[in-house]
Amino acid sequence: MVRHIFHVALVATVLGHPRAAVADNGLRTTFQQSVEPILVKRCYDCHGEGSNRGEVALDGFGTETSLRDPQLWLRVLKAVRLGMMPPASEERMTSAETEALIGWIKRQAWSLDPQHPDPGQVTLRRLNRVEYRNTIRDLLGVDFDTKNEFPADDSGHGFDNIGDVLTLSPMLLEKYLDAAQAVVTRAVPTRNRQIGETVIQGQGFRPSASKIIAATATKGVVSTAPPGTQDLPYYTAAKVTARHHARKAGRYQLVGEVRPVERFADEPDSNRCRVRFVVDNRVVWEREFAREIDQTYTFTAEQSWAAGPHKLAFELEPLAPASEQRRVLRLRLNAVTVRGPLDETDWVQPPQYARFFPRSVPANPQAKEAYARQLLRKFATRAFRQPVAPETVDDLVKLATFTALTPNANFESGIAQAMVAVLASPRFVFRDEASLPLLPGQRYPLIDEYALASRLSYFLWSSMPDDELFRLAKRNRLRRQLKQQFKRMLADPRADEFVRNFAGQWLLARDITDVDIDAKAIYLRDHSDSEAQARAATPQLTTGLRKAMQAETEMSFAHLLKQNRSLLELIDSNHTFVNEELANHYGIPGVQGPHLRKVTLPANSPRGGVLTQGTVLAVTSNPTRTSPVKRGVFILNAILGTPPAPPPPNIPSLDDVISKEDQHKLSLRQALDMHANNALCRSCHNRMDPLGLALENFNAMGAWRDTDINVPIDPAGTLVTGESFTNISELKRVLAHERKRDFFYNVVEKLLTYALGRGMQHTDVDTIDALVAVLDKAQGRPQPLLAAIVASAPFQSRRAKAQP
Amino acid sequence: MSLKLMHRRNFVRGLGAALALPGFASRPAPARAALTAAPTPTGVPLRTAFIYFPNGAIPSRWWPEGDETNFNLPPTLAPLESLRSQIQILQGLDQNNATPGDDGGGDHARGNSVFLTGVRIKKSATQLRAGISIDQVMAKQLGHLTRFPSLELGCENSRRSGECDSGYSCAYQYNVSWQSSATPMPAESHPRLVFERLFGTGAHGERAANSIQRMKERRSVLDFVMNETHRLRGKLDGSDKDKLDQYLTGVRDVETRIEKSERFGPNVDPMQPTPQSVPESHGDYIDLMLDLLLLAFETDSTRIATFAMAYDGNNRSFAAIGTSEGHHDLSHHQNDPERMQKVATIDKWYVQRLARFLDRMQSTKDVDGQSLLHNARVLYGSGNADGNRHTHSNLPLVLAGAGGGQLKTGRFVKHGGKPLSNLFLTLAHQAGVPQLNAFGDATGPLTNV
Repeated sequence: MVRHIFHVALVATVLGHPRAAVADNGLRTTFQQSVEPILVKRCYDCHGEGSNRGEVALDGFGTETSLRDPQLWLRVLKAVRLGMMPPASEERMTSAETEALIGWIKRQAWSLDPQHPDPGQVTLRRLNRVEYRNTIRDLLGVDFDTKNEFPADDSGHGFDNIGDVLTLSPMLLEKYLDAAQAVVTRAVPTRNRQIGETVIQGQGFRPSASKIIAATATKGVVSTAPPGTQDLPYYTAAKVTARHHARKAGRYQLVGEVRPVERFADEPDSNRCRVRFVVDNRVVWEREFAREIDQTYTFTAEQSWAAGPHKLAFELEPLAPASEQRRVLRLRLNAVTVRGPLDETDWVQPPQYARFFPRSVPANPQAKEAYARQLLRKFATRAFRQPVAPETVDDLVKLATFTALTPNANFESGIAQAMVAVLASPRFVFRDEASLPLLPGQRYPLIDEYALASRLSYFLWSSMPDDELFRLAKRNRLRRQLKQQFKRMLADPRADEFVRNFAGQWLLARDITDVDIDAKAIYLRDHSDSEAQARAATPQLTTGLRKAMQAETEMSFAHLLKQNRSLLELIDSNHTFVNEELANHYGIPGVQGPHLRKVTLPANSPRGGVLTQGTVLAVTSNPTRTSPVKRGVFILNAILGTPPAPPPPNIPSLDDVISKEDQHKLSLRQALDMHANNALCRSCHNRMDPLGLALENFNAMGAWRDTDINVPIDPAGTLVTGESFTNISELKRVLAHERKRDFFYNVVEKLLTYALGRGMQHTDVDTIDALVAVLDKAQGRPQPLLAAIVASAPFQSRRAKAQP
Repeated sequence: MSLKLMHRRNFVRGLGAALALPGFASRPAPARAALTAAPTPTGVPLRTAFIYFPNGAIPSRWWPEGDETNFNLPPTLAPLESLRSQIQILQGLDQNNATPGDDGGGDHARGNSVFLTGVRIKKSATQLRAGISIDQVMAKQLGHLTRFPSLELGCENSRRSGECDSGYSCAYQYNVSWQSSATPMPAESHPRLVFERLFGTGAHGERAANSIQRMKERRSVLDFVMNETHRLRGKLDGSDKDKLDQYLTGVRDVETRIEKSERFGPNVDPMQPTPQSVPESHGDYIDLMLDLLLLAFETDSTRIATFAMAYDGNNRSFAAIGTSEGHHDLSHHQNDPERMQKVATIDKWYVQRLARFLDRMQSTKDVDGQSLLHNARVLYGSGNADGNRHTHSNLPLVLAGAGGGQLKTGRFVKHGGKPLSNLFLTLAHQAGVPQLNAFGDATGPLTNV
């Protein structure tokens, strides 16, 4: 056996070189025999013999390199595979011709070997800010707000987890060092005993039974208080109380935190109020508040308490109105912390102590060092997501020991400082992947099981592997249990992160939060009412509506994922997810309450599927009007996977085409119809415009409308591939049936890009074809596809170091 | 080492309490002596800022009429009227590498990342290849003189999902400053974080101690992460190694920062609260970021800065000034007068932000008795000239400040079609980087500046 392999290898080596010259001839011969005749017949009218439309010429290959050109043939392969070329106006290729052409490209021009797919080059991936936050949460139980603290990650191919694009600037490194310090300081207790603490959140203070109205109940005022806090308006007398049960008699310290806040208003409000903090019916602190910005007030009060219940209360008394009440001033109750008993003999173990220090610190120096070694090896293994080299642990123990000897430090703070070093390490920040040794018959090595665990967890959870994945990787069982683990991971709530980050970026749902919308301008475009009427009635794209839209898109995707229903329902579906506010916005009757739920749509509803969701419709609009072009581009990019060429630099002026007076009367459809008169415009716009115009019944906020500046909307159109439709419902059907394969190819490419953290290359086409076949066979169901992705060659293996 | 730090800490404690802002004029001699002479005639530092605005400007409302010294300020530049003796309006400077060339669409991505680099960027969604930007060229040479080699500021901390401009990675469209061809310098966009990075966390009076503490903490882990980096580096190759080298560069920068904090002592402690949040109004937001930039210059925390008020292609709605259509959408006005007027209104709104900043620079006294603006060069401009047609020649540019007397201000200068990179050569030379003889597509230093 061994000799046989050696023999084969030897033959390959001996023949490898001299055959290169022969291979050229062979390639040219196969090209001339099996490909050129097809090209002559089907393509050269536009792409050969002097024509090079779209700057594509499929002749004149002077060198072997040009005959193998990956970029050129990839374009050809994609266009032919989906029947984009030859164009609808020409006769189609026979399937034998398509197969011959694609087969030659894959096997001859690119020499791809389907038995040994090239896993491609994945660049060392830095954790992006979502992954960093989730990893810190799972590792230390602390939520660190990377969205505010770190700069935004750049993206490529539509996703922000692409290794090549995730750069690391000096500023970010500084931030990593400081973040490491901050999270460890928050998470790891460095004293084994401390004063007992109970935090009573602002929300924990309840209105007393009598005359009191709590802020959240005030009509017309939507509470924007952060979770746990409570806002009291300056204008209403209020008393809110909480109870604390003192464990033991002794001295206690109460630390309260309040903060005056205001909602935005054009003019300031000069009302005032007086606030008292009352303990067991005795006022211990009081203060008068006016309008104040960015100032948090902390007060402390010491109490001698008997064991048992004690009553704490905030009382707010409005002071005589000094000006018109604009009802924007509120006092935010953050929290009251009860500390005590203060006596050292009554101190307790910090709540998280046992999580980081499972036993008491040994007195013996050697035992102490062994304990440190054990703690730090365990922590670093988890943080680095793979076994840690002994010299790394040595360094960490040295750092911990050294720190423990500095003034005011102890064993625990030494360990904590070494943990900071772990989190600042490149092995934490980057996902370093080890490979297994190359086995006989393999061309590319498998990644080791720890690396596999990380690829799985960052793909499906945007976070680090959990204990079970670690355990399996350690025992080398993960690959064998891949299917079960995949199922378990998908069912885990952490898989919501996959929905949020993959679908959130693919379907643009993330962007709805920040999209700029001028509700009045949109309303005026849709309605012939006078401006005065509009001012009274303009529906706004409120924060609540935006959140509901984002949730709608996420829940639609999550539903298909968890229920394993066809992904084609993303295009065409008989249900959606709405709450009362969103249902009203969409004109769906009978939905009440703030929570989103699945709603089956009436048969004639234009809704259902992401194309008619508020997220997509608003994000692809301009602030004052829809953009059929942007919407068309979205469908081409996100659904069909056939992005249009970018616009040419010199766009002719509308003035050259139509008089100025007439321009203002043009509906968007009429304006865009002018593209058809210009050959340069037409070549791309006849792909985008019909798709975007089909959505014109939905305004820039996603609400239904019948007219655009008084012109009735006509959503009918014909795709460049020949299919006609009269309205959005028909277009959805066309996309979900006639263009199903385009969509499948696109979904596979998007998912694989996200899973691997790199762009697709020509070497991936065999993997992509195989995955599309899986999806096709599963009739569009996502779970078999995802399972096949995590089992695929590029997910399971990598190029060896220094492998070209 | 740590003894020195302790000594420095005590020294600085006294200093922090004594200093209020504007505090640069009262900066004590020992700290100043640590700086080498800067190339202005009076020996005070020369500050350089590059301020970017998006989508070009309506040319007919931007360009003055008249000759070099006798010209009228057009509507868009009218907010600069009171500053006209402090500025030059530069006409006829181009970024030829931002044109489509063989790369096709993507003028916003190019406009943005070519503006300060002057090179042709690689058209790719994943492989980044731009060039070092001029601010970073200067920072490399002069950065050792200040606590921060350079400062990068912006007003956006989120990214659009989906593809960016025409097949270019979003990194091109969201970064104007590049440390090397593959390493953009993302901007800090949160006012609190800018302030804390410059002056330390906490309230006035606590910041110096907090900064020292932070440096101490950073240093405690540096040996470890350096060892780890070298161990990891041995296992990697190719692009992985390049990624790790970005990390390594960052570690070395932090080491330098720590050394500097010992050499200079902690920064002055501004007598003002730390800004907590991003202002609600976008104008206030930009103004606040510019105030922070001013503070950074005033305290000599850095001498080189970039600030992108918005990135190219930005489609912000300016409802407050009656142009709620998106800026980018409007900029493709197709010569519709109404739309052009609206774009010009937005162009002017951005110039108003600049004017307010320059006013403050002008009224802030530097240590030599001149204004801060006199001792500065502030280049304000966009990487697109005419947003409607995506042109990159005759870019809208204002160069403010006298560069310590080296620049001839109060002029409208027609350069007649030269690379913008030529100006960068001149600015670098004047700042004390005389050996720079090639940058971007420069053909030689720009004369008559």
